[in-house]
Amino acid sequence: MERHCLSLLVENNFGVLARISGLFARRGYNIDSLTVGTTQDDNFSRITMTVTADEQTLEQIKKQLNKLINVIKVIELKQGEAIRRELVFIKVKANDQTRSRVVEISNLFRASVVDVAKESLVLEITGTLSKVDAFLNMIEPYGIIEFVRSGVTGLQRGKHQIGC
Amino acid sequence: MINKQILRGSEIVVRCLQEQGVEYVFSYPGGSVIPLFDAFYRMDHAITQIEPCHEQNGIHAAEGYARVSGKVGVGITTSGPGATNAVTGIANAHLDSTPLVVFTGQVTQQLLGKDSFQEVDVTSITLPITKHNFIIKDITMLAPTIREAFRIAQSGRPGPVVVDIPKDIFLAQTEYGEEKPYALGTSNPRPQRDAVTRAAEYINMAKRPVIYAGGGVLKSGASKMLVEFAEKAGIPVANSLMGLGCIPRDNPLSLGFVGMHGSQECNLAVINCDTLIAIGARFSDRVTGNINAFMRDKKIIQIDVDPTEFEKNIEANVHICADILDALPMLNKIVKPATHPEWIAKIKEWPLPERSKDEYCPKNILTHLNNTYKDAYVVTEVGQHQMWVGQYWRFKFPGQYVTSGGLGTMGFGLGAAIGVQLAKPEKDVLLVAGDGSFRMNFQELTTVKRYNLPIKIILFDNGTLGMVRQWQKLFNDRRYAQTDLNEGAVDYLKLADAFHIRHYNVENLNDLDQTLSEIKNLKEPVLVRCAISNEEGVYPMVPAGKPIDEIYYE
Repeated sequence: MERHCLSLLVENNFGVLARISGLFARRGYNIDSLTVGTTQDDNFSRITMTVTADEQTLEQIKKQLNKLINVIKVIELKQGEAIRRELVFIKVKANDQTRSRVVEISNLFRASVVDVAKESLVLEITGTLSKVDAFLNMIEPYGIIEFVRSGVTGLQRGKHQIGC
Repeated sequence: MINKQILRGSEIVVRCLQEQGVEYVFSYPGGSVIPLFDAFYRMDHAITQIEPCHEQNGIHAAEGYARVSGKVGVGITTSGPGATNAVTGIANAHLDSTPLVVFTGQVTQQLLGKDSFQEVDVTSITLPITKHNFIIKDITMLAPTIREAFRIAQSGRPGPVVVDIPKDIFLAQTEYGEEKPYALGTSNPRPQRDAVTRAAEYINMAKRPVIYAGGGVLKSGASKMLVEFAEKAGIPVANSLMGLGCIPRDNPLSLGFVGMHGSQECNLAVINCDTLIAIGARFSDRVTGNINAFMRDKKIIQIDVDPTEFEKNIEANVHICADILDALPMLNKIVKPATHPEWIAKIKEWPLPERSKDEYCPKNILTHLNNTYKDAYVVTEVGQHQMWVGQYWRFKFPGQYVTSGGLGTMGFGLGAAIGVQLAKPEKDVLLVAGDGSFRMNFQELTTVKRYNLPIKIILFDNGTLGMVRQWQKLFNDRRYAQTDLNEGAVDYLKLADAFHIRHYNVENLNDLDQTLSEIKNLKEPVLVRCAISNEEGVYPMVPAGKPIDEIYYE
């Protein structure tokens, strides 16, 4: 089963998110991540979600989403055709001995240090899932205290737009 | 130029129902809908309110009405328990794709979310059992939302829509101007020409084709077209339970219904066919049994207006996403005339074992009833009697069989029969019921009597929950847990008396014939109790999850 990234244009009504999450719960689909935000038009919101599913289930998910009255459009953000990024904050252990090494790794990944304390650093990184995973992998030996991921969001490249 | 006027929300609801040509609403009063009922009371309108004894049955009545009238059924309940009582009815309509608009009263907006008296979150509760639902929080959105609710309920694959209206919206005022109902059908996808062409190629090559026609054919109004297509291409027709009536049972191509209680000829035809043309049918587990065995060695063509039906339960070789009424004529035009005599002869070699015509048993009871009431609408409850009607009735016209298919709601029938009789006042309406189902909602005999609806209730009284008992007998070594109704037996004749309903007791075929001749011309409700043995089973039967050619007989 592969991970797929879907982008939805939805009516900006309360309850839309409940309909979508209810649909996934009811039909047993897995959501890996989900982000919601406003768009250039107040009437609509944009939802980006990643799901792990085989091709047949993915087709069902798209059709079921399209069937919801409040969902205007569903597109798949495919690798190469779209920019997909995730924002992650990582609080990692860092003392006088390790701090500079953590900062060095962060620089290599173009992550930035957004908080410095005696025993820890908070790092911010934006990137694709694989970049974020690689970064977490490198930081992990220093002792990750906690991290938070925004979930993937994305946009199609070039002249394509979700439109309505 | 449209005349606009300032109206209260409650009046706008009534006016919007008038716009839609609503004839009956099935409504039960309560605190939060008092202003709405007041508007019905005060306004000079053409809408008749029918009051059930319980909201569930009001919604079943709306569904019965919708199924045979082809219009949208309308229910109204109060907030809280009124709305939760309606839930079973709404779920039933959802699974059987019946167009309903259900209005639920709600507490005033200031009280929302505070666990107020008779407050429940109706839109959340009904979210998975409606096609869509709304809560109105702005009086200016009231009329457009109601119009949209009616459009959604009827368009594409029909279904129930709930509109939750807080009490203060009924009392608020805004400008109202009459509008025509929103146009339907414009959003339906057109049949895809290449898919239709490929479907026709498969059909033309088929040696052993079968049509599997479901409730969608009836909903689309394509029954006549289906028969034309079947006759031109010489293809036998198996129905799902919901599809019964789309082809007359006396048509030589009709095989009756397929699945768990399908006849041997029908099940064997479906499982042994080389090309299955599924039309407005959803491959329910009760139809397919073991899905792999069902799909084996055949090409499947699927026509449905709802794209989510494709690749849901089965993968078809060709699918046509369109209104059946648009797709079938295209397909019919390009399929070659054929007859398939060998295949049809083969199917006829797989008939049902017969029982003696003199025996007092469900089959003969129904046959005698059927001979008296050839053109009646037949409503059922859920259980053995429902399957017997499906197996033995000689259906003549679309919509004739009104039953709870997807949800299997015991207690559906009496309410539904009320709606059917209101929609078809000139027609005979039969309710074939089992005693288990009948006990659930017999309070509606009040409604039947109150509106003098001449429904003929045929009550199969075997003192048991027969269908469950049958499973216990076959699969649980006759451990009849909780299925004996004789502990706490009801005298249904005395019960009918209490409701001032004429009643008859039948214990043999002579009783039955005499009763039928007496009641045939009665324009009043009647209850006929038919005592039957609790050992009568529904056969043939395919155990759940087994291939549908693994057929059990008694």
